[in-house]
Amino acid sequence: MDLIEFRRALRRHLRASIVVAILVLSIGVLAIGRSPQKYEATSTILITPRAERFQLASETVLRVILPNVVVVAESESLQKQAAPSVPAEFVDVPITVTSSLDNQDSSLFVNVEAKDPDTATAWSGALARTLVTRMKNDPYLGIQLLDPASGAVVTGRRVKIISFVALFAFAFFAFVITAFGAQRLQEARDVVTALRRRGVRVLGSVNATRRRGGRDGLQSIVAVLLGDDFANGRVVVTSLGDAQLAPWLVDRFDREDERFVVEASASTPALPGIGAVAGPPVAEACLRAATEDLSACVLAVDDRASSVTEITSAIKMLQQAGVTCRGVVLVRGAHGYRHPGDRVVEFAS
Amino acid sequence: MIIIALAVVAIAGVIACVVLEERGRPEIIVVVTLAVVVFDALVYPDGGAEPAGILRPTIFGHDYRAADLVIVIALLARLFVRGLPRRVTGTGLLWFAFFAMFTIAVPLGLANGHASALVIFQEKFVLEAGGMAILMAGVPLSSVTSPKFIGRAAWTLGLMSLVPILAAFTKHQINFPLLPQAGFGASLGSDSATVLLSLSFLLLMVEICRDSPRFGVVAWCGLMIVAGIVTGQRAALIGLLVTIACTLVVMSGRPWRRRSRARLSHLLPVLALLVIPLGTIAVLNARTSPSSTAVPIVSSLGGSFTGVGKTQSADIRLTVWDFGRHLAAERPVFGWGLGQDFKIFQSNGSEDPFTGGDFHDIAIDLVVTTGVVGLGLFSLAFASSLWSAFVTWRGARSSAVAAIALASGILLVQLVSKGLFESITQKYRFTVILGMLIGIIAQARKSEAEETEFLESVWI
Repeated sequence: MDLIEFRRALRRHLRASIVVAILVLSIGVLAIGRSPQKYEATSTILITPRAERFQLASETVLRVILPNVVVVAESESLQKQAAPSVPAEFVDVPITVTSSLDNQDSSLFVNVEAKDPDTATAWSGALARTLVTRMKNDPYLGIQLLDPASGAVVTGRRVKIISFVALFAFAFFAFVITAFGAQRLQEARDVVTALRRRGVRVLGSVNATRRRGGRDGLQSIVAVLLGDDFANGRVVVTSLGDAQLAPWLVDRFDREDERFVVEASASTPALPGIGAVAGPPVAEACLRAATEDLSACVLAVDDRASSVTEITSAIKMLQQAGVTCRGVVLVRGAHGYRHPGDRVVEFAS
Repeated sequence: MIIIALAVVAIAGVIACVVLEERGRPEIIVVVTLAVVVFDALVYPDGGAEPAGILRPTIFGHDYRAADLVIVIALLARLFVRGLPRRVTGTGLLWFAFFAMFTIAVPLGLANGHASALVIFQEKFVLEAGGMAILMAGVPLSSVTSPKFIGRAAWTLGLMSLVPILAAFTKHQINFPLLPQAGFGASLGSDSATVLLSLSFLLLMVEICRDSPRFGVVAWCGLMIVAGIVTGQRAALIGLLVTIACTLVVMSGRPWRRRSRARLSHLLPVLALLVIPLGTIAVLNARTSPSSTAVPIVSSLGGSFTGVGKTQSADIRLTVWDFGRHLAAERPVFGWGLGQDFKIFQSNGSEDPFTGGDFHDIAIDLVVTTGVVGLGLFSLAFASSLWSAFVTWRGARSSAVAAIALASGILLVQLVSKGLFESITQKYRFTVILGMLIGIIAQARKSEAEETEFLESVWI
């Protein structure tokens, strides 16, 4: 699809695309906006390895011991130990504790996230103090509280803003993809458009299920055929896939206009080898064209049974056999026709 | 100084690529990129342990690969010569949307406080896979499916990989001169096996869909495909099994009978060629060491799944997956952004934690970094590419184009299956191959449609 065509598709399916984009935006806004505002308070603790202990020990021992402090800082046991020092109104408020170690200068950050700033501040300070008390006699590490939390900051604001940007981008893609998909779906369902886009002449379509036997469509097809300036007035009506489709259509032609003279003809065997793609009826048409000096045909196609590729392949095969396909007639709802034998139509115009 | 040298090389590269594009030889650029990837994979089987150097340049403190630079240069030349694309396809649109959402995960990751080095490292996936897809989609398939090209490519690739494969079979270490720490190891390496499998499978499928396949080409490709069994890597074996299974399914279909003379019964001699040497080695082994119960190759294959190291590796993967699922549940829509790292200590007592921001499962990787949105777009784009490959295989007029599209579809399935057990978005060799496959499928579909339109435009 080139860009001009794509722009047309966007305009054609604007309503559906907008609905999908709004749907995506609504769900996204609900999902992102639902997460409540959170506050984070941080306390800083300085951890110093005891020099006398590490004079002979390897550095890797320190690499194991330091992460242990992080584990202790995030543990539930430390929270239980710190709870008595937290003001009563904050004790039962849910919190999330994370701790990180700065490997450059051995400082430990105790972060507490809560839905209100006071809870976060109170818990962060309490946890830091409790950790220092708990580890003050540690044989390997010297630990001191450097900076207890004095306030809390809103967390995740930047993340939220970027999430909204991402949401708008996604909604835009949903908008574009919907338009594209709708266009493709329409084209896939509409065989006539797909054939015409490929340069195939579609004479018209006939509805086989209607009571009138698709007379409206038939009239225009007949008008087109009679209007063609062809030296040879005789054409083979052939079909793709279903052998009964061609005789049925010939019968319709016969009833439609007196200028059609329908010749009955004996059935001919299928050509070996070339019927693989298009099926025996087209192969028969090729053979008849060769034996009866016919150079034109009309291809009848059941719109549900044959794909665009199959139709174009059949046309190509007819061309290779020296038969000019004067057009395709699409038969919709083609399941009620019954007519034995092949027919050749002669235009008496 | 290095930067100036790189700039000079880049300018010369752009000029060379522009000339190739204007002369209608874009396939040479793609071949050069792939040659760099193959050479790198063969001489450095463990891509993670590759030292900084010409194949792994460091620019402004960030780690890149030579193939990354070639792709950037080639994309600049493509833009210069052909301008922006004037057509859009459904599959292209879906891949573009996925890569765009993946790029939006960069600021999201940085806002979440992730390390910028890891964020940039993970973002290179877009350049490698997306860039390679664009490059490949502009290469006329008639030039890379011609018998002459297939023959040359199979012989060159086969000769390049013969020594590494033999070294792996005999478990012999060979050092490669000039490049530091380069060499053919006792094992072929999972990455190398996958790269060889992918390229040789593409060549093989095109060759056996010809009227008269050449024995030499088929033999080289067969050798490179089965080379995966000496890697001792589960993921490589899984990839190989998936490829074979998909091929067997395809071979039982009607389009195969129309397009190729190769039948399942033709595989019997190939199987015999594999089984007879194995049996002979087993018999000789039993005579020299009667107490041994191990069967060569077979026991090493078994060890790939049941060895102590493999069991520990599987255990740590389960822990990583659990952690990934937990993270995904916390932020399901857009994920945590790129660069989400973790440290998990292994049960084997190692002091080095398992780390790297790679969850060893493409689905978890994508959900954690880009959320269900990213995973959904990837699934749609992947399904669309597979559908295109399938439609081209069934309907293409040219059997060579149909075969290469089918092979690319099968290899896409293989890569994603492999991605369920190891990272494919962080390994540049896989991402380049992934991009190439996407590009081949897109080009096959496009060339087929153009051919159809051309044929029908002459119809009255």
